[in-house]
Amino acid sequence: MMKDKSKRTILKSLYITNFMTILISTIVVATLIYFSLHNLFMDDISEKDKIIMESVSRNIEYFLTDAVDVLEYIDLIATNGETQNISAEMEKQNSIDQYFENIEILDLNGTVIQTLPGNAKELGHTRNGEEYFLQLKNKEIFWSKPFISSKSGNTTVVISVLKGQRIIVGFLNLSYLNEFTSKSATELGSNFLVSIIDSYGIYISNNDMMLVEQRRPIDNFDQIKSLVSYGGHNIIQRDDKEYLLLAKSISQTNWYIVVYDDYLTTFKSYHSMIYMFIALIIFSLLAYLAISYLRTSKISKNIRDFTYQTQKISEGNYAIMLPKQKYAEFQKLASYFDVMINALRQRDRELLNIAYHDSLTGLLNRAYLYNGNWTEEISLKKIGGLIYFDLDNFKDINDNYGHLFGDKLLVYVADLISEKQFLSGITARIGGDEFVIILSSEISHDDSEDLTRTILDVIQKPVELDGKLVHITASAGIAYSNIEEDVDISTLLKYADIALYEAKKMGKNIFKIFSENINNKVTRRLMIETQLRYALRKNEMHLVFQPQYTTSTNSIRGFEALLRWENDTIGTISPVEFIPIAEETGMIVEISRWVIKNACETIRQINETYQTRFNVSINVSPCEIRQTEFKEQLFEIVSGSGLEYQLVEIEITENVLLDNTAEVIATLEAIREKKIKISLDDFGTGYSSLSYLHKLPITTLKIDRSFVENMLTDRVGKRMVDSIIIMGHYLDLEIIAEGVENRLQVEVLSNLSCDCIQGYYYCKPLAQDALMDYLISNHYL
Amino acid sequence: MRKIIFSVIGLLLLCGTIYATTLDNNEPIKVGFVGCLTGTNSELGVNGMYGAMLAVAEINEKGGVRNQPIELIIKDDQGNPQIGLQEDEALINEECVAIIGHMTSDMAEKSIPFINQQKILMISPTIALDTLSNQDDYFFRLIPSTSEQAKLFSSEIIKLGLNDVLVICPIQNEIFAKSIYNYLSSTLTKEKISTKMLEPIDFTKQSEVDALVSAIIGSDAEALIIIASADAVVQISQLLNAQEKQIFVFLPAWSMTNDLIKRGGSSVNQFYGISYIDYQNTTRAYEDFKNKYIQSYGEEPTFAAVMSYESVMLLYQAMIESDDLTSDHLKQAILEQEVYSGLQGEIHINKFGDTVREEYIYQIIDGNFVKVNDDER
Repeated sequence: MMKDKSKRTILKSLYITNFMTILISTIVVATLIYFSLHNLFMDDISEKDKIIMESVSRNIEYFLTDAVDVLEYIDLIATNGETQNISAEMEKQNSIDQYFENIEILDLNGTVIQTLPGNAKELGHTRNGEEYFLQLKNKEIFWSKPFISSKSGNTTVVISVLKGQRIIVGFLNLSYLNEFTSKSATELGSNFLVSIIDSYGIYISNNDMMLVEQRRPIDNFDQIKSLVSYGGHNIIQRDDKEYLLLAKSISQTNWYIVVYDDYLTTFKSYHSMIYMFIALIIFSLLAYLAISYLRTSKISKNIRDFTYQTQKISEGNYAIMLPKQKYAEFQKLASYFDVMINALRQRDRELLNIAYHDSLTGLLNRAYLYNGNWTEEISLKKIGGLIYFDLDNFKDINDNYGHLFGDKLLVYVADLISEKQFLSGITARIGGDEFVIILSSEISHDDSEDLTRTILDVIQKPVELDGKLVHITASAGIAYSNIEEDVDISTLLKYADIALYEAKKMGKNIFKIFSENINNKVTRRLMIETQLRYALRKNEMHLVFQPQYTTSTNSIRGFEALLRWENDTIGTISPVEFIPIAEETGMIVEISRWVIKNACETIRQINETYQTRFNVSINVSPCEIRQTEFKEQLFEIVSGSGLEYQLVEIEITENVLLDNTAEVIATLEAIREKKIKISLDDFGTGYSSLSYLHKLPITTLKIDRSFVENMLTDRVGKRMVDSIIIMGHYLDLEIIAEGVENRLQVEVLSNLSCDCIQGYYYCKPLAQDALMDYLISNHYL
Repeated sequence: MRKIIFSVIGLLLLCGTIYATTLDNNEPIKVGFVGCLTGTNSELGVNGMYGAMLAVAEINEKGGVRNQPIELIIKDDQGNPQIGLQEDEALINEECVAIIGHMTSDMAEKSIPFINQQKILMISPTIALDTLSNQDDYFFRLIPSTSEQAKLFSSEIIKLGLNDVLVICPIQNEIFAKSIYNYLSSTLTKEKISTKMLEPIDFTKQSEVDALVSAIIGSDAEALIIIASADAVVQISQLLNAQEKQIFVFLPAWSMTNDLIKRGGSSVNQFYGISYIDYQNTTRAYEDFKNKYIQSYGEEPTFAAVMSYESVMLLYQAMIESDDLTSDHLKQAILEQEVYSGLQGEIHINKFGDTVREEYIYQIIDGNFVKVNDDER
């Protein structure tokens, strides 16, 4: 199974997607809002600063205008007043606002003609070199460059006004501006700094008067000039702080008002709003994440439910039902799941049904017995036993009537068994013509056997199907379970099968009950069958020869070749035991060929060696005779052995005529044509009728030992032997009596003119070496 | 994902390192300026400050010294030697590589020993004390010593055949005035010309000014040497003019500013004065400097501004030539150069850091500085 390298889950994917979506959206929105707010705040601050600046500018202009007005008034006083009072009037006027440090009136030569009383000593001084005098040639009013007055130490500017024949000069004390700007800053708050600079950027007024006193130029004068030109505001660094910078020019003097707004301090008031906003965003983000988590968890749980259900379905467990789903889509899916599960259940039932039921008869089948759900029908603990039925010779039915008919017959039998076993257990068809009844533990052994018997009896009744009347029988094997132990169906089946086999062996149409004895028999049989396959290869088989004596001459007619088998595992196995097995399994053909070959070769050797003409009698099973190739093989083997055909005798039994009588007779006749003798063995014990004696081209009749045995004790038995001998002679048959074990039997048989005798009285079957010793020692050679 | 994050972090670190490295290279070089920016002699100090600021602006426009800008740290000694010393110390604490200043001789008494002790290079645009000459120390100056000005005064007084010379000065910068007076006295006495120095006064007090003028008017002096600022000179000239006192007035370079003409007007007509600026034969460098100065500050540069500008440029030259910015190496670089191009000609600096340069004597005629030719002297 390939290792699953993917670790991505829907839940993780949903989390990441949701989180990224939320985060990115939040960042975008927050950024937009922040910058919008920031711009809004900045615009708001800037507008406020502009208002401040306008206010300051206006006040300065008022001040400057007032100063000029004072000089104008001074001129008026000079025009209208008496000369000696002009100075006092000037003093009086100046004392109102005290704007001027000094006021002078110059004549057109630049000589001081009037001054404030305190500066009387200046009278007569010339000012003709001063800028404020020289510039008035081109204008009526002149503003000098501000300077630090050497008298007062204050920042001062000179205003000179040309008035007709006089020039009014005022030395304007600009310290008022300092008071004004510092007052404005105080009123406005410590966030604001207001500076006034001249047209060269030199400080006229500033919160730090040192810069004014030292006539320092402002640091960013070019920036201020640009600001005045283009408007708006700038952000600058000053004294390690960031300020919003606005500037405006004062038109009268080309001075500049510069406002520094420590807007970040102002912003602090907005900070709380921004912090709240940020906190709100974070809270919203977390809340959204939490909600998203809960939602996706629910969805993930639904998916996990479905996954779990699917897994259980794949394991074959349809019992778990999905809980009611919250979401419509999942509920719909769940309902379809239910439909699917039910369909699967139904399908499984049907499949199981198909799997566990025989399609022909409708009965349970072998698969059910081994794998079925026993709790539905009968607990394994409650099984009392098993009856195993097998129809006898069912193959013949199929061969004779066709498989369709055979199927109908099977259905009939199935119905019959089912009907009979009703309430006794369950019925199953486990093979072609094999049926099983699983018995309930509640049914007794006697009842089980009665049931079996009843079923067998019913089966063997003729039945008409499709207009045909058929007779069938069945055999059965019964195996009972040991209630104390766990039941193993396969073991029960095996035991019942063994019992069934025994029933088949015992003649069919009967039932046998499994026992250890039967088990042992079957086991032994299986062992024999297994070992038999290798017996010839392992040279475990050998022939023994039992002489057949001619009663009249007391000479040896020939020998019956008998097969003996010594197996390393099993030991000595009687032909009575292994020959039937060989016949059933087909191994008899090979064994028989070996027997024939070795028997013929052995006798041929003896005959050649000792110039005798012994016969050899070889038992041939009926199934061999029925084989079409038997006679050719027989001729081939005999021919190959070198023994004359007429010295070979095959011994057959009466049941050779059970099947294919015409073919069998034809085979025997062909054999007879080769002059090979045919002996009918165990005469009187089989199914043959006297009419077969007439048909069969036999040459010899062998009286079964059972007749010889009863001959001396039973008068009827002796008469039967006599009858057989007489009948046989009538038919020109040579008569051999088997199983002769004593002298009396010999005398009786001799008296009855039996032709040959075979038995322990003379000699038991001997291996070749022992036989040679016997023959030599008894002078038969 | 992890790879992306680590790559971004690595890139940021790299950029930060590069930025930090770049930052280190752009750290400004601090140069101190100290002068009398407030008080009675503030005109000298302020003009000197303007000249230095202009020089620093020009240097930084060119890219500074090896891509490092110069930062001028300005201090006001207020005309007070003790404050001057404190400001010197403050400039050294601010890690200034050199100090431009002081502007008045009164500051020399305390400041010069201090900077020598600290081994910090000081270049004064205008301290002219004779006692500071021929000293192998860390003090350099771009103005000739007072004796050179006194020589000119002497020669002019002798040429004019004046017999009685009066010297007046303010109590501020008395040392400078006395330095000139001492030389004058020794020189003129040999010529049998009487030389007298009146008690220094406080020109902010009108009464003292009046008394001084009265004393001048009441004296028999034929020549008056006013060793004071232009404002102070105008105070005297106006009073003398009002009293129609005729007397030859001689002024040091200190007074020779356009403010003298503006404020003095006709009262300063015919006054003689010494200047280190050749107003008639200006050079391109001077004209450019003057125009920038006027454009920046709205007034013509005084000699203090010129010499302060040249002091900064001298230091800049030394910084470029020197292996490092230690005072010893800067001093060495200056001394090895010997001759510098000032705004109007060569400036010779001897092995003691004293300067020899052209001096001019002018007379104010109708509001203009008119050079008194050598052959007329």
